[in-house]
Amino acid sequence: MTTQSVPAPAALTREAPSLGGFNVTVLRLEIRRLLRNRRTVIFALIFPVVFFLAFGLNSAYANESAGPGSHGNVSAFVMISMALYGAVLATTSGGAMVSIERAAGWSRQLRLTPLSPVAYIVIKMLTAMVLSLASVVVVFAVGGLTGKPSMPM
Amino acid sequence: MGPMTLTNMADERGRRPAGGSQPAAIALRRVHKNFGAVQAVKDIDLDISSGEIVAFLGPNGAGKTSTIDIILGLSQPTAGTAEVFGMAPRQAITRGLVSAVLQTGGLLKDFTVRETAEYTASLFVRPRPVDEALNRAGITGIADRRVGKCSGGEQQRLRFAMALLSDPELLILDEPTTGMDVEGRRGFWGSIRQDTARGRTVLFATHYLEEADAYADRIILLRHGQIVADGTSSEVKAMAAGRTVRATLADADPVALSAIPGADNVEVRGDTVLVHSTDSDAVARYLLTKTPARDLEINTRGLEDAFIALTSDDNDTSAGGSR
Repeated sequence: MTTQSVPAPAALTREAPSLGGFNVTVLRLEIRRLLRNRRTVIFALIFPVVFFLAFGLNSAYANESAGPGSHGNVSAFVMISMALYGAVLATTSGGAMVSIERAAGWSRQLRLTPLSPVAYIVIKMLTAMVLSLASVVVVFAVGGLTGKPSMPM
Repeated sequence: MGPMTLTNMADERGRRPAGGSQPAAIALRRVHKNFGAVQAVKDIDLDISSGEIVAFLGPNGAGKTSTIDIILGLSQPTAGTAEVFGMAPRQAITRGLVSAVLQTGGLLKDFTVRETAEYTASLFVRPRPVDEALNRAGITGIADRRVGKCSGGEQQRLRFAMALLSDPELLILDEPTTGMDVEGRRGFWGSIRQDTARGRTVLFATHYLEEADAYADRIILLRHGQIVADGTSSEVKAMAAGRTVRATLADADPVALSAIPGADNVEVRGDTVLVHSTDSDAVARYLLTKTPARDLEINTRGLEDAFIALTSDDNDTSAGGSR
């Protein structure tokens, strides 16, 4: 309540963060938030697996060659397709998140922090790519467990 | 520091520190902001020193939010310059010198309260601990609740906690209690009052007159993008409204009363006379020395009347804006 306690000039020698505010805490929180979103998890992680199990294991064609000159069978072809589908979906939804956050006013809130626009985009890209990696890993892991896909070098 | 009444606080804060070598917390020079043909801010000059608690008061569309956006660097002035602690607004923000609770600042519904605060804290170089900020905003109890499940008042307290994380020298609040019920509003201001006891500079926009009166030591009235009054709440009241002197006086002569310097409105109701004047002392002196008037009463009109008088469209503003 006193006007004598004006901030010491030392308070004005504060620093701006390096890397425009980019840090691991933000990345961790963003990924955790993404995995909490049920729709994202269903479409990016569960759908590709379900589709692989539905179309990649049918014994009528699963062991057929994927095409003339190919080394893999149809099961491997479906597995890779589904992993790719999951990865693409994860990264595109990551891009859509930016526009949703903008509409919600979160971007405006972030402009009151040292976070630079470039650092924000980098964080979003990394978050989306982590999810797409998860999608690929999950589909390949399930494929490996079924033992059906085969693609000898 | 013990509990204080609001009146005490206003008195103690009445003194304004001189600029000195310290750069002004906010310095606006001939700032204009146009949106197409609409002039939202017209030629505003403003200096706010460190430690001041200032209220921006004005009706919707007076230019409060536009001016605040310029101070925060969220929008660029069409003409003029804005400096915060002697630097560009964006620089002050990256150093954590300024933070704000905005009307429009969105929150992410799927973060918890604590995660939102952690996210914000991680962006600053030397933030205050998250738990301390949550505690000071009074939301420690709901730290693990999803933001989407919080009430409007709780979300506003979260924005306040986020604003405290950088331990800013200047805190800007844009209509911080809009949409809160009476209890929420009181609790919110209680938190802010405790916080500003530490000597922070605060600028808040409001259209709740009682908030400006109770919490600010300087009130700036805005109308159509211009400053129409700037002073303590009693100065602002007096500037617009003057005072009304009421007395019991038989056979009053309205013409003689109107001739008192400063008297601008004389009303005679039977034995009661009401003289409205910008110089109530002169009226009182005249009534007591030159007439047999008795039962003298001097009343200041409320801040609300001052607000309406200064900001309504059909008003001649020549009385205001002196300072």
